Formats: sequence, structure tokens, C-alpha cells
Amino acid sequence: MCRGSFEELADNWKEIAWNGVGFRVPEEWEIGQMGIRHLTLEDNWGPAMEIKWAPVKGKFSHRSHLKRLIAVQTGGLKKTIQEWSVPARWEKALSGFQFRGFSWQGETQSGRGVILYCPVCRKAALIQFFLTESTRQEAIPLRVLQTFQDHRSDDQTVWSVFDIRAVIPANFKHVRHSFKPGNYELAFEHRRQKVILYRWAPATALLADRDLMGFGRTIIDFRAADPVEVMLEDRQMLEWKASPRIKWVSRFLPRPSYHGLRLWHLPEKNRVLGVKMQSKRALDIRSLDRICVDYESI
Amino acid sequence: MWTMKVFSKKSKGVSTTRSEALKSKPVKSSQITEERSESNEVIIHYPVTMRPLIARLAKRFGQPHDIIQTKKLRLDKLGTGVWELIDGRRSVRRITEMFAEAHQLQRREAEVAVTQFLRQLGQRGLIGMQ
Repeated sequence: MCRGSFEELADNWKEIAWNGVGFRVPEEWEIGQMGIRHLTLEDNWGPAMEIKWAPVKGKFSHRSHLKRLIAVQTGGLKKTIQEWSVPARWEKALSGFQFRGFSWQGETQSGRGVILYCPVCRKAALIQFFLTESTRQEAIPLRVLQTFQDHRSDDQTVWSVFDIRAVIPANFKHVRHSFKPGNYELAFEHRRQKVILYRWAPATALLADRDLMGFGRTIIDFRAADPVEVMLEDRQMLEWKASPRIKWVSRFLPRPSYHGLRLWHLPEKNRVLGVKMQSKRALDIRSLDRICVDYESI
Repeated sequence: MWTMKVFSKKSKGVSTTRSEALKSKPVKSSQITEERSESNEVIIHYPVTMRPLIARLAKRFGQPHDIIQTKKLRLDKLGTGVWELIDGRRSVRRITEMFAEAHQLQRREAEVAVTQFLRQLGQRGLIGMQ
């Protein structure tokens, strides 16, 4: 594909970032399935791309991994998986990685992809593109690969899926996620500190007969006094806090938690965002501030 | 050692079914009646036939067993919005698009919300698909 049409594609791309990896995909691609280290993306015709990744301990061999990949397949597909020499433009796009290409041919679908290994972060990834109307255009898989990243240098992890984007300290590990219509939740944990990101929509329906404080009371699951208003950059938030009461008896009980919940309304996006922090020690307010500032609806 | 099974079976039929489902047009049942609540939300009255076991028990005890009961379903604001879009001409895809636009939702989120809602209406016999 010529350079001109590649440029035409440039504006209609969006960021996907999940659990340490990130890349850009065409705007119309939607996340189909997601796991802790797995994503499938679909275009208007069906599955368009799949990515899986994992940290590697010890030596990584592309050849043995490809063999293993073939071994776990069943039926006619097994015979069709083969090594594939990637185009020169893919090679250039993946210059920071050690990689090997593969292709396969099913009864109704076919695909091609790469097994990547990053010697810097010691992560291996498998990226494959199903042959659909959109991935037939060479520029699309190429652009996806050009934008692929599996580590950052700032000890932060970007999470960007559907319409939320957050930057979380890298030491916080993903523990669960839930993306139900109207209500998204993304939870992280580091030692005994938990951070939960919330996103509710549409705000007009949720706040139709109550204000943000009234809405907040329906989701607070800890004893908290009335909220206080917090102004963070240009965002006006409501903050609920609860601290454990220290009594001599509590020495013999499990350590109680400190809780903090911040909610804010984005009228222009018709969303309500929230961040909850829970810790066995006093809350790290600076960290909470940073997470709230970076958390946005896109 | 790190392993992965990459190619899960995805038959072409699944995506076709989804695509066809989005093309179908919901139609309101002729057996229902509608009214509005004070807050302008829709309340649907719909007939329910007695369950066979209950009907047999009613018959055994000499009670009428062919009575058709009427149930009420009160929709919330969002449900009312979708209900108003069902006119027998608009497809599920079009309703989803209009719902997404009205509430600034992403297409996929709106699609899941609308199709779940329509499925629930269908299970109660309040709509059919054509």
C-alpha cells in the first residue's frame, strides 16, 4: 500500500493498552474477548486480530514455541500452520524485537502473525491477524505492529480499553475487571493496597433524580461521613474517606482498612468516573491524586 | 514453560448470526397495552397464561384453570427510550445506533445493552422479531 493511503488511515486510529502492552488499531475495531494477558479485536466482519503475551523465565526459543503452538492445535488446522517470512516492512516495524512469522489456513478463515520476544522486558507475545476485509490492507497490520509496545520506561502501566484510559503504577497488579453495559470496574492490588477504577454511563439517567452525592451513597460499602469537595486540576470531585477506629481490642482483630472514594461527573461525556483506594495503612493521597488526574473517559 | 492455544474455533456462522440479529426488526406484540407513569416512564400490561402445573392443580381443586392473568412491567428511563424506538420498521442495529447517540455510549456497549433488553422483552412475549 502506498504511503498516501497509509497517511489517510492515520486519523481514525485508537489506542488499546492492557496489562503492559499497547498498540493502536483502526477506530472501528472493537474488543471482542479479553483476559488478563489476552485480547481479541473484531472488525465489522468478525475477528481481525488476536494477541497473547506472557513474561518469559529463562531462554526463549521461537522455533520450539512454534512447534508447541502446532502441537496444541487440532484437526486440519494443525497441518496448515507453517513458518512464514514476514515482509520487509514488518521486519522494520519489529526491529526492537526478536521475531518469527507464521501463517495458517482454516476451512473458513486464514491468518498470519508473529511470535515476538522482547529482550529488554523479557516478554513474549503472539500477534496474529485474521484475514478479513480490513486486515487485507497491508497498511493496517503494519501500523498495528509499528505502534506495538510491551514496556515503558516510567514504571507506569497504561490501561486504555473501550472509553476509559488510566495510568497506574506498574507495581499494582491487575486483579479483576468487569465491563458490563453501564458499569465498568477495573481493580488492582499492590501488597495490601487496592485501587478500583469505576466508570458509569449514561450519567443523565443515573443522576436524573439524585445528585452525585446521592449516587455515591448507593455504591459506598464502608462507613463514611459526608463527602468533602476536592478540586484536582480542573476536576471537581466528591471524596469520601473512612479511617479505622483504633482501640486496644483492635490489636487482636484483623487490621482494619482505610478507605477513600472519589467520584466526579463528566457532563460533556455523560459519564461518572470514580476511584476507590483501600489500604491497611494510611492512604497514599499523592498516589490517589495522580491516578485520579490521569483517569479519563475518552 | 509458556504455552498458548492460539486458534480458538470460531465458525463463520456465529458472526453471520450476530449480523442477522442486528438486521432484524423488533415488533411490539398486539396483545399488550401501554400506559405512562407520573414520571413518563412506560408501564406495559401483558397477558400471562397459567403454568401447566398450576393449571392442573387449579383444575383438581375445581378452580378455573384457563384464566389469563395480566402482568405489569415498568420500564426505567433507558428502557422507555428503547421501547419508544421500537416501531416495526427500525432494525436492532438502527435502534442501537440511536440509543448510543442519545446517551453518548460506544457502539459495542450500546449494542450489548439494547440486545440484552430486547431479549428480555422477547422472553416475556412483549416483542417479536421480523
